[in-house]
Amino acid sequence: MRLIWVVLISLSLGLPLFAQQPQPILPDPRLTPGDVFDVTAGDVCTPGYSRKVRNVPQSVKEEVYREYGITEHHRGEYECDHLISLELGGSNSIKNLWPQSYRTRPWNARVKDRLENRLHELVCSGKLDLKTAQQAIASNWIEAYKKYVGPEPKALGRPSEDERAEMAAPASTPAAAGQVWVNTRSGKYWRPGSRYYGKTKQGKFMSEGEAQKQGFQPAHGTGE
Amino acid sequence: MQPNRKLTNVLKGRTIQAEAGDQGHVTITFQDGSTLKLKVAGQATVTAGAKVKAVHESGDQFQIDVEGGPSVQLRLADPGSSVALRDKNGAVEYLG
Repeated sequence: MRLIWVVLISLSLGLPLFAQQPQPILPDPRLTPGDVFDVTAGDVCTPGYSRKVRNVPQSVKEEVYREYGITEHHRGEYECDHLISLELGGSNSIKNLWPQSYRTRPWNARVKDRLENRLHELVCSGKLDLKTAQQAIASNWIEAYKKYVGPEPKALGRPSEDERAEMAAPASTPAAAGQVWVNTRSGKYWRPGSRYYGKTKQGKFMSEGEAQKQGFQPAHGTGE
Repeated sequence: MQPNRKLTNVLKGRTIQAEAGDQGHVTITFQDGSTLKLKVAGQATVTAGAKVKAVHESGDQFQIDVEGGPSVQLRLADPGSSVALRDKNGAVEYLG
């Protein structure tokens, strides 16, 4: 009877029944010391930069999971994360890749994304040197979060209903009416009311004129 | 070997102008002024005047197929971190 309860509770929580897979919150520095391309702040701050980087081949991702002793995983459990993010010049070398859990709390892949965006902003606004940002995130991303973003975050594991609603809403509020939302990863921008306005994982609001000046282009040719 | 479509799409049709190499590096210059820099283990022979047809890559194996000539075959020093293509103005066109 007790076993049946264990099985039912485990299934309802989405937990593996017996074999617990590793869920590191920091990478193993021997396996993942971090690695970068030979690029400058000018390169990584150019809209669409990270689209120029090759996608990590599936075979490499599988090797990363093997290295960390993860023998099985399901969709949404882990991200094959670039320790030094692409937006900060990180490379696709296996030395820069590690399996980061979405489920650990409070430190997980979603929280690290916030740090990556913050460091990219600081680098591109000239407030932080690219090498310093790369070293900070590679040496201990949690300490870097506390230094550059703030104190320990509210837990972001499997998002609660409130958090899902927050994620579905615009990431922040435009400072002025009519501003466009620029997707800093793709190099495209979206006008108010369009499908991805304020909704892409990486992006920010700015005037359309500023977006064009910085080299962003309207999504689908119109921004709609 | 797997096709590297992203790099093939960028490089296809470009003509190799020159190649230079030193310890662990090969630099291929194209007639349009763009430059492909590779971190390699070993050496490579590149034929000037050849036009790129396709690029293949698997693990540390990297191959450039050219029209009417032998493919350029290289072993990358660090897969995922060894290939950089910049245009004539120095802007990043491809990294991998």
